[in-house]
Amino acid sequence: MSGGEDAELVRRCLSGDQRACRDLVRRYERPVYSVLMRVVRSAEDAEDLVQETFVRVFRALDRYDTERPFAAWVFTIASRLAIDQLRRRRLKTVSLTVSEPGSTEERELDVEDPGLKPDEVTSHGEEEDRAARLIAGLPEHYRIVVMLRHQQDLSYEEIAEALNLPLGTVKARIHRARALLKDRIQRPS
Amino acid sequence: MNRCTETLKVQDWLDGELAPAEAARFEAHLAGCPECEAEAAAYRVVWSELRALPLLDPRSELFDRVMEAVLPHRPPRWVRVLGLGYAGALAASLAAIGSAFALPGPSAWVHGILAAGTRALTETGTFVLRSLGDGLVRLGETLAGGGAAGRLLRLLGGALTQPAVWVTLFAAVLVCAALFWWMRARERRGAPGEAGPGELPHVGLLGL
Repeated sequence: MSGGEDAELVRRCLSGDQRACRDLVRRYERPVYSVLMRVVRSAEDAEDLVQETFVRVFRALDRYDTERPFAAWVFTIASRLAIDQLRRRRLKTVSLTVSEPGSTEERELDVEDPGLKPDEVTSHGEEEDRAARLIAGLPEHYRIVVMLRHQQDLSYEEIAEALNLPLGTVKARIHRARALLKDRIQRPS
Repeated sequence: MNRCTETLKVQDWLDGELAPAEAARFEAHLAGCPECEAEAAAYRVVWSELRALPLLDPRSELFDRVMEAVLPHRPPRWVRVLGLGYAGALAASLAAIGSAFALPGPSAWVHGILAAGTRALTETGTFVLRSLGDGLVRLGETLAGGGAAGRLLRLLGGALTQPAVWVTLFAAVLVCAALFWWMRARERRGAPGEAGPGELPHVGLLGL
């Protein structure tokens, strides 16, 4: 997605061009839905969050800083909404992570995820199925950083800003998530 | 077992996060370290798996739902047409009233043209409706020989010659014509993702 094209679409949206607004939504609807769906793992919740993301994007469009990548801004809003949604859900369950004393690192607990089972996540080919299952098997706070890094190509800094986390925590989570994926690929059982 | 501490750099190296000099040093190390090479190969598979992750397709209704929530609501077209028509008529009336007070009267020739036009329009209407009325009466008399139907038609013809009746009818015909024009079949404007012009005809109320 080109930043220049995004900036032009935003400019046209702000001047009242509804076609540009439609183009902007068309451009980001699938990527935003994909991230949200992988994170919250409920199509209904993901759709509600996509709608809320765009409502907030358009409500704040006149305050958007065109020097920043539009994609990073959109995913910041979407990620925060996803985290809020997970938090609301977690109120009914238990925390999935524990912090070690004297460390910022987090350790995951083995708690069953209430969302879709890996084989219920819709995808296409065998390879895509395997990738989807691997992602679905990650704890949710790892899923979101991996999705933002590897599917949306956001930088560590952009992810840290989007999730309102220290840069070190983001890096640690991404490294830990990849290590988990590596282990699961090597030992599929 | 002591692990090579350089394996910790594998992810950063694959991620392009190492500074050029550090990356060059690590690559030199990698060539001679089977442990780091194995670690790098394992992580390359992770990268490859993550690249294979497809974008998911939301239901097609989501786009309309989002646009409905995002775009400002516009009243239906007929409300806008009615509103604009009313606003235009009001503006014209106010301008006419204002000009009647503020401006000098029209010159004699303009006044003459307006009066002649109004008279011609009235006379034409009267002629058409009288002719129609007379024709109906004669038809009724011919068909019914002066019976009940003939009397009804004579009454109708007589009513049509009254100015109040024919002016009302004339206005009704105009409104009806305008209504039919509004209900005509027309094409929807194309929008991104929707059918373009000519692909999805919008059918008017009458299906014309």
